Amino acid sequence: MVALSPDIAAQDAPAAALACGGCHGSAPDSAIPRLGGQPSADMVSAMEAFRSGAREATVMGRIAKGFSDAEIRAIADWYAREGAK
Amino acid sequence: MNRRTLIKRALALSGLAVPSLAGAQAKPKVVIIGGGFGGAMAARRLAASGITVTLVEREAGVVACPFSNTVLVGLREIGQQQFGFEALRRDGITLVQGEAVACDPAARQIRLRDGASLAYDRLILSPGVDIRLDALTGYDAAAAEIMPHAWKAGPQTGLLARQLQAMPDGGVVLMSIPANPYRCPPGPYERASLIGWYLKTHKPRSKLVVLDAKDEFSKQRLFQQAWRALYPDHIEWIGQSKGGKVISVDAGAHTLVTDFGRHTGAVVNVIPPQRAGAIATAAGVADRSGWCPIDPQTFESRLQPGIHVIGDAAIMGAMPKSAFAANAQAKACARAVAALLKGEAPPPVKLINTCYSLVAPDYGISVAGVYQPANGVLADIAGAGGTSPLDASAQTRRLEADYAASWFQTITAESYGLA
Repeated sequence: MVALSPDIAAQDAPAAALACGGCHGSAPDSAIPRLGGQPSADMVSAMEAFRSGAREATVMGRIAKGFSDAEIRAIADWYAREGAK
Repeated sequence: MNRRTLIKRALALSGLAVPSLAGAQAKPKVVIIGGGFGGAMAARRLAASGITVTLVEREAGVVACPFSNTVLVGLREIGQQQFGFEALRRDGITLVQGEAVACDPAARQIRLRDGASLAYDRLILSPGVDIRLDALTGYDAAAAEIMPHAWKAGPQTGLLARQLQAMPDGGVVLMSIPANPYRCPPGPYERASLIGWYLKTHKPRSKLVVLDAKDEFSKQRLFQQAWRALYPDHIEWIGQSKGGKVISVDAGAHTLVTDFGRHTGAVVNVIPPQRAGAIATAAGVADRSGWCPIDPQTFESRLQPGIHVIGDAAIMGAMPKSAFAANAQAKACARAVAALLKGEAPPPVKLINTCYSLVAPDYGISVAGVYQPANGVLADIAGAGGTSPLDASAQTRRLEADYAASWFQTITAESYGLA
């Protein structure tokens, strides 16, 4: 069958990254972008912009405010690494 | 594909649904009760970490509640809500179709209605809710066939959909909404909105009257703003302080009774009070409220060691009873259980919930929250979360409706495999 999505395979993901997978899946035609394989720096800057309100959003502004710098970096690093596998 | 063929197909695939004994001594065993968004997700995650997993579910497949309000008004087919367990079997999970009726926490055994017993090292209960047929005078199983609750997706959804369709233009639809807590806090209001849309579109002389046991509810300002703008002639909401609390029903007369009077409708939808699924009480993990207190780090019951409770059945602090929440808790619980079985400390827990509601087919609104354990419960992280803004553009509302559909695709693929 199809390969497991990075999220399904993950037992070592940071706690916060587990939470992202509730919406961000691996379906190619989803309106919600896939996170696996995104460059870490891009994800960090996106989350910072969501958190500050600099980037317009529906739910991501509200969600990003619940995450610290360290958590955002850990999530971004993990998704970048997992997606590259 | 209708429900009957789905069940037949699933049954055909489950011919050998007995617990596997191979490797039982070597690998720890987890039994999970309930194949919904909590139980299925926990099963898949635990199986992926090399644990022997048995999933017990009454039905051969599930009918998903999220988006089932759109089925009521003809926007979606019930088949799009049905999911089987083929992907779980491919993961190596043993499926047992049956009903868990008793539990011996000291012996770590769960007993099924057919008499079979299953031994576990750790047990995860994800039983969802049971409708309390004793809590609203006159609302029993027979009344539910006349006044459907449709609060568990399946035959009840079809029944209410057919009643709405058969109702003549000009008929009054009644809806009764319970006090908190219950499954899916904004769900009744999404349903009211979509029934309002249906009446406005197909039966413009009809009207929905909502009788609510509360004065405040989830996403209230957003819903009420939309109702004023879109359905001023088609939805009337009566809160608790205006006499909205239904105290008894007379199913034969299609009537709901409040302290202030009687309301009769052509179609009557009663969303009754609820509690944790019956196995929670049988296992001794539900308290007097009917719900299950848990440790927010491990989801282990505060009343019985070795038993974890996730999803709607549990008392989750600030986190609402939603499919999204159950799925998020399942992933965290699976990690905690895997760690505990290895004798390790459970990892940190951080959870998100995002609940979308459709106010019209292309008009979505959301509430989001971020949670972590604090003071023994899952607490809101201050400054995060909240609802969609009141002043959003039509484009934003459409985008949230699209995201709702994408979220459903993701959660169902994660829990049951890609369609």
